[in-house]
Parts: sequence; structure tokens; C-alpha cells
Amino acid sequence: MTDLTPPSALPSIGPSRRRNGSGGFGGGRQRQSSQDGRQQSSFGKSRPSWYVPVVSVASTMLVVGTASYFIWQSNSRQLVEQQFFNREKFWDSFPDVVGGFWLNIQMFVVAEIAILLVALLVAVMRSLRGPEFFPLRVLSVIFIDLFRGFPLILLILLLGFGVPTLGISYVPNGVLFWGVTALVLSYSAYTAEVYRSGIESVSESQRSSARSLGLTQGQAMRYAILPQAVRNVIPALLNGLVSLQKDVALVSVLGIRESVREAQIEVARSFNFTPYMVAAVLFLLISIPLARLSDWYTKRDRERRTQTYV
Amino acid sequence: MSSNHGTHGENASQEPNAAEDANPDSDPIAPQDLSSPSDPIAFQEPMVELVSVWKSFGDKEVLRGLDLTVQEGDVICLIGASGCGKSTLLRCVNLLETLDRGSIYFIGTEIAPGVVNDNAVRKRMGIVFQSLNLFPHLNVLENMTLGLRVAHRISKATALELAKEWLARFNLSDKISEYPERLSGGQQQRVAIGRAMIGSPDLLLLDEVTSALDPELVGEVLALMKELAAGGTTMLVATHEMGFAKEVASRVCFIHGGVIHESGRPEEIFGSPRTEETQRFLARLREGGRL
Ligand SMILES: Nc1ncnc2c1ncn2[C@@H]1O[C@H](COP(=O)(O)OP(=O)(O)O)[C@@H](O)[C@H]1O
Ligand SMILES: [Mg+2]
Repeated sequence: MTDLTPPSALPSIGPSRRRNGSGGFGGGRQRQSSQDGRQQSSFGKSRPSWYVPVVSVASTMLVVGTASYFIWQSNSRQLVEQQFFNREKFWDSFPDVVGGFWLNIQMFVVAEIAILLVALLVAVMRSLRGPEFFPLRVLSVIFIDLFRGFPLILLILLLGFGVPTLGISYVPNGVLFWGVTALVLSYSAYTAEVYRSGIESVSESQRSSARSLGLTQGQAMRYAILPQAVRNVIPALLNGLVSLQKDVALVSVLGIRESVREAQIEVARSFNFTPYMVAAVLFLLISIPLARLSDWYTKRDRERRTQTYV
Repeated sequence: MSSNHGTHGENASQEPNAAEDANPDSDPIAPQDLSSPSDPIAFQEPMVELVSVWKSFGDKEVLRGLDLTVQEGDVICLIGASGCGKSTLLRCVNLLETLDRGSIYFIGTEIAPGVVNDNAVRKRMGIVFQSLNLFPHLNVLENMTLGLRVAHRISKATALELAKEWLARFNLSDKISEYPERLSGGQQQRVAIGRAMIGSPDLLLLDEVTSALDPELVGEVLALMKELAAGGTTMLVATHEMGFAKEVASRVCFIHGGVIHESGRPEEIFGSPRTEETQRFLARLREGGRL
């Protein structure tokens, strides 16, 4: 919230710069001088210290209050409350949905670890140089194109329902395994590209330096390039984490009894949507902290960088 | 030992240094070295020998049949206009670029084209670039020892000892656990030189290591380079620091037109340059106040 409110000194600086730019060199200067009086006075009198917190709290209350008022006033308020926020139904379905949510968390953790590893492998394969690695580069490009090209839901249906029917003996045949595998493949394709952008952001001379010390291409990658590359893309990786946490629920289409599926069962039984709200609250409990963590890290990272290079 | 073999020009057109001549023993330079009074050994294998090296980027020919011989203990300064190919030459020697034609010998072994293990070669050379290139995620100690630990497979304790030794020598002992971003440019380049020297390379390649530095930081790096030269380190140095070249170089090579256009002892090149191009280059430097 406070991020949206500009610091008190900025508004008067911003517009004057813009005016200077759009007016060309000579013209801009002229026009600016005619407004200098007003500019300077707003520059001189800085806003009082209570301005930022008070304005942000007041504007928040205004927006939230207006929205609540209209919802409160609407005829359907009672219906909404009955169908979505039914206290009794909430606690009725709570144990099953929470039980299912535990499976969501397990799938999420396992999938995320697998994604970070598979994607790294694919990205490194794609970044190898030299004719001898051509096949690996081609493989990784095919992998990325293929699994990024499918809608995730289609991949989940295909693998989750399809592969177990093949009855292949040397791979697990569970729906759960293949559902999670679909998630891993799709997210790995995206995440590999994230890693790759990180690898490419490390300057060529860093690679030369590492190679000139006698490190092999793989060692240069491992000790010189990747540590920098990963640090550069942690904000993007955190973003993927937040997104995966929600998409895990897609495996419910396979009949896997995770939280959304459990909620769905309850909804079908009671013709009331409150169980969905239970699931929604549970997801929010994870995704909001993750999103804040991601914001916090990204901001800190940006500050650290500007400090270093200015 | 190499004080007098520079006078016969390294000019590509003069030297019938056949590319197929894989045996440096029959090199036409050798007889000259034999007669060298300062050379106690009858014949010494060149540290590095470039034979008719061609290198182009796209249709831009940068090196056009360049020949160069570096003897052990030589400090060779490569001078020439910006873009004349000094960096390219050094990168070729370090096998960071592949040659179009010609060959490079390192201690009697052909290393380009078609070396089997380029890392084995690089381990015996050190190179420092113009841009500040320490690994930003590693501290000074880790920067110094990465090559030792990973490429040379030297134990942690030995590597630490070596690093401390070099840092002490370079007056950087108190920076051992600093990260590069907290060092001045001059300190970074000194650590980079230390990182290149710590593996006891046979040859040190320096590519305009002071060009990216603020003027007040140039001196400390040049002093270090002089110290290394005095210690007998074989060096191939691309530089714009003519003062350094005059004072330290055993031979100065002026690169022009993709070859070593003229080479000789510093007093010859700077005092009585023979070709018009060299004279013109030096005149430009004088105008710019850099000579
Ligand atoms: N990787 C490259 N790709 C294309 N052109 C290059 C590359 N490296 C160097 N060159 C070109 O080769 C010429 C010589 O460059 P360089 O060896 O860096 O010169 P110097 O170090 O003497 O200033 C320049 O014209 C430069 O633009
Ligand atoms: Mg250069």
C-alpha cells in the first residue's frame, strides 16, 4: 500500500523533468521559467510527516468501505453469505479439505524440488558450447518447446490417465505420480528458460576468466557462471514458486483427492459452495506469504545491486 | 638473453618462417640466439612461437600471418593502435580463440590448431584482461584459489598457503576475505594478477590491465608488473603504457596491418623507429601526451 504513495518530494520533480524533455532544449527552458514560481513554492514546502500514512489509510478505507457498502446493500447479500460463507458448512468440510491440502503441500514441495533440478539440467545442456554437445543442445530445445507448448491441463490428462493404461512395468503406474510428473515437465520447461536467461546475463569475460584458469566448460559453469546466474534469477524463480503452488490443484482433474477435489466432493453433496472457500483460504494462506517473500527479496536484491554499481 | 634477437624484424614478409616447419630447432631465429653472448645455453626452446597466424572475425582480417617468438624470461610489449589485434593475439595464445591458419607452439608443443587438451595448456599460462574480471560471488581468497583447487586439484591447505604468500607479496593480506565489489579497481587488478600467477604459470599474458583504471590507480599495478618482470616472469603484455614498455620491455613489438610491423629493443623502437608507420604511431602518441 505505502509503495503506491509517492514520497512527498517526488511529485514536483517528476513533472518538471518531463516538461523539460518534451519541450526540446531551448523551448523547455523558457516554458519552465514561467512556471518556476509555482514549482519552487511546492518544492520548498514539503509535505508534513503524517501525510503518507494518513492518506494511504484514508484511501484504503474509502475503497474498501465503498465496496463493502455495495455488497452489504445488495439483495443477494444473504444468498452470498448462505452459499459461500456458511459457517456450519465451513467447519463441516474443513477436516477433509485440510487433509487434502496436506497432499497439495507434499506435491508442491516434491514438484518444486524436481523442477529446480530438471530445469537446471536442461538449461545447462542448452548452454553448452562446442560441436560435441550439439545433440544435448537439440534435446533440450525439443524438451522446452514440447512441454512449454502443451496446455498444462492437457499434459496432466495425457500423462495422468494415459501412461498408466500402458502398464509399463519399469515405471510407476500411479495417477498421482504421473500427475506430478506432468507438472514437473511443464514447469521445468519454463524454469529452464529462466535459468538460461540468468546464464546469459553473466558476461562473456567471466566465462573467459574461468576457462583461462584451466577450468573445463563444466567446471566454469559450476563454479563461476551458475552461482551468478542463479542469484540473478531468484526473483523469477520465486514467481514460479507462487504460481506452482496454485497449479498443483490442477491434478484434481485426475480424481486425486487433494483439497480442491475434496471441496468439490463436499460441494456436490451439499449444493453449497462454502467448501471451495475453505480451499481458497488455505491456498491464500500459502500464496500470500510466498508473494510477500518474493516481493521482499526482489526489492532487497534491487537495492543491493544499485548500491553496488552506482 | 633476448636483448639482441629482436632487431631482426618479425615482419611477416621478411621471415620465410614456413608454417609446415613443425620443428623449432630448424627455426631461422635459432642461429641468432646461438650467437647471443648473454645466453649461456646454446639453444633454448622458445616459450611461445606463433607461426604465420591468421585470424579473422567475419570478413575482418585481424591477424594476417603474424609471427612472434617469445623466449623464456622475455617481457614483450605489444603496442599498436586500438583495434589492431593485440587482444586477439593474446586470446589466441590462451586458446580462447581458434586460428584460421598458422600454428602456435608452447614450450615446443604445437597447441594450435587442434590441441588435445586446452585446459592443460591454460593451466600453464596466466592471463589478465582489461575489464575487471574477478568473480563477484567469491571473495579474494576464493578467487585466488579457484583455479588451484578445481583445475590443479591442489589441497585446500596448500592453496590457502599459496594465496597468503602471494597476497602478502602484493600487499593485499588484509583483503583476503573481501569481496571484489569492496576493492578499488587497482586492488582488483592486482588480485587478478595474483590469481593468474598463483598456479606458477610459464607465461603471463596481460591485456591492457591498467586501461580500465582511474589514473591514480595505474601506478600500483604497473609497479607490480615491474616487480614480476624483475623476478624473471616471462610476459607478453599488450599495453598503452609506453613508460612501462620503455623501462621494462626486453622487446617492443608494434602491431600494424595484422603483423608485427616492427620490433626491437625499447630504445630502438622509441628512439629510432625504422618504418614510417611506427613513426606515425609514435607521433600520434606524442600528440596525445602519452609518450
Ligand atoms: N569476438 C569478436 N567478434 C568480432 N570482431 C571482433 C571480435 N574480437 C575482436 N574483434 C575485432 O577485431 C579487431 C581487433 O580487436 P582487438 O584484438 O580487441 O584489438 P586491440 O586489443 O588491439 O584493441 C577489432 O576491430 C575488433 O572489433
Ligand atoms: Mg584490446
